[in-house]
Amino acid sequence: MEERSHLACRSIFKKCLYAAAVAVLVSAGCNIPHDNPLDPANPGSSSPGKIMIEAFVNLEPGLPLEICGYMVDALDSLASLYPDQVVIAEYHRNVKNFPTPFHRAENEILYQHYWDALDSTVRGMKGIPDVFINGTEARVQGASDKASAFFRLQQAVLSRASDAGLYTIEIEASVSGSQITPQVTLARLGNSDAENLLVKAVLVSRIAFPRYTRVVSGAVTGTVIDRLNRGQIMKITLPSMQSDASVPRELIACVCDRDQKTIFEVKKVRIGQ
Amino acid sequence: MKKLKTILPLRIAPWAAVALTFMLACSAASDLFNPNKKPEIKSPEIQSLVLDKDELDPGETVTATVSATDANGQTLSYEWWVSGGRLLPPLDRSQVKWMMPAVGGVYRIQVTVSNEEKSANRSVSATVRSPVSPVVKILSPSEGSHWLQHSTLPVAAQAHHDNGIARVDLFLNGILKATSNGRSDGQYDFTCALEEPAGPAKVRVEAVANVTGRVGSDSLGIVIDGIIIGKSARR
Repeated sequence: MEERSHLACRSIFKKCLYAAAVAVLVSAGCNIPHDNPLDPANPGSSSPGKIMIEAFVNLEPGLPLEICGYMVDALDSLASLYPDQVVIAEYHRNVKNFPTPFHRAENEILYQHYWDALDSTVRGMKGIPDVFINGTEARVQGASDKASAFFRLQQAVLSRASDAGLYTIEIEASVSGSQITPQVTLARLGNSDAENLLVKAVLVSRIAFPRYTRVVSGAVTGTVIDRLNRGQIMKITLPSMQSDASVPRELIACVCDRDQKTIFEVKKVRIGQ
Repeated sequence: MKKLKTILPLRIAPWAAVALTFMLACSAASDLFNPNKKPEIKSPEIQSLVLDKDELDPGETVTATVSATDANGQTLSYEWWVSGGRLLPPLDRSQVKWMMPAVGGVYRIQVTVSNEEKSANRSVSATVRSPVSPVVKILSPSEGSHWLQHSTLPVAAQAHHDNGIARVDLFLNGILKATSNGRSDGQYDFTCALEEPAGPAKVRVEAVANVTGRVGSDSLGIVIDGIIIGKSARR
């Protein structure tokens, strides 16, 4: 009997101990100092920003110049050297007499959009290869060989490498057969609010041909985010995209201005086959 | 009384006119017959000032000869001045030796011929051939810069020479692309269509000097980035 009561006491004591521990944890949790630089609640938060590189190319055999190949090779080198800093997507465009099966009308629309957004003094001519960095922040057009194309790309990347990102992006992809639905969690870092944002998702496929490793096979945009307050976290579900499930794919999500001229932050995830 | 006042000036006036004419006539006659009065002296007249050569090398000597006469028959004196180089004595003759300066260019010699009262001067130029080549500097594009194929390359350069520049040529990969006549300000601006194959290319600006035909040049490398011009994205 005495042993029973002793056991009961121990059980009560244990419960009290647990309750106290939980209470301590809860109360401590309320006062967590937000000093993590990636914590959106930290007014001084920022992330090491990533750079979005969008290349417009045509790799069809028989083209009179190998220049798009040089550019894609240079992008490969860039991706190897700066895997944590750059995210690359390659939009294939038809050129005269050289249609490509990876051409999409949306690619042309985006190219025209970027071209129109450039200042008329630097707009120059349309042609491939043409590489846009963080939207229209920088542009590397044409190539003479891989080394010089890489050098120019590297210069553009390094000049932005130290820019702190003021957004953080997390991506989830709901895959159902060939249908992919991107779900993006976006948070505003730092100590200022943001307005008029747009989240865009780009699906890139790794085709089983050399140099076709980042072929854009789909892209969708969400609705305009009128305001994202400092520290605010927002979940966005983007329209679904169809894609060939038999090839390895990656999903890129980026946040840009509502006019899609400047990309502020980007992230990429791999989608399982 | 009133009548007397009116008539008196009318009677005096003709006599005053006669007196004035007489005085003037006397003055002219005295001049005419004064043997001490000097005639008007005229300036010497320079017929020619010639150099025995008008294009010379630095340090070379040239003889300058002035031919002048004096209508008054007076002895003439000569004074020489040069804008460069130096004069070899004697310097007070109608002929002088002029040693050219070391630097090319156009120089002037001037002579002042004087009689006892008046003088006249004349000058003539000589060109010293500069032994150096024109100095050429390409201001833009910059070395190693990238330019898109089928675009237009602007080239700015400066070219100077002591004898002036006759012509400036722009070459791309050894092919003449543009030419300009010499300009006094030494600034040359060209444009050049980049239709060369993609890859490294050499820009050379070449200047030809006046007089000597000496050639100076500057060159640099650029990179022409190939591009395949696509159809309009709006189609």
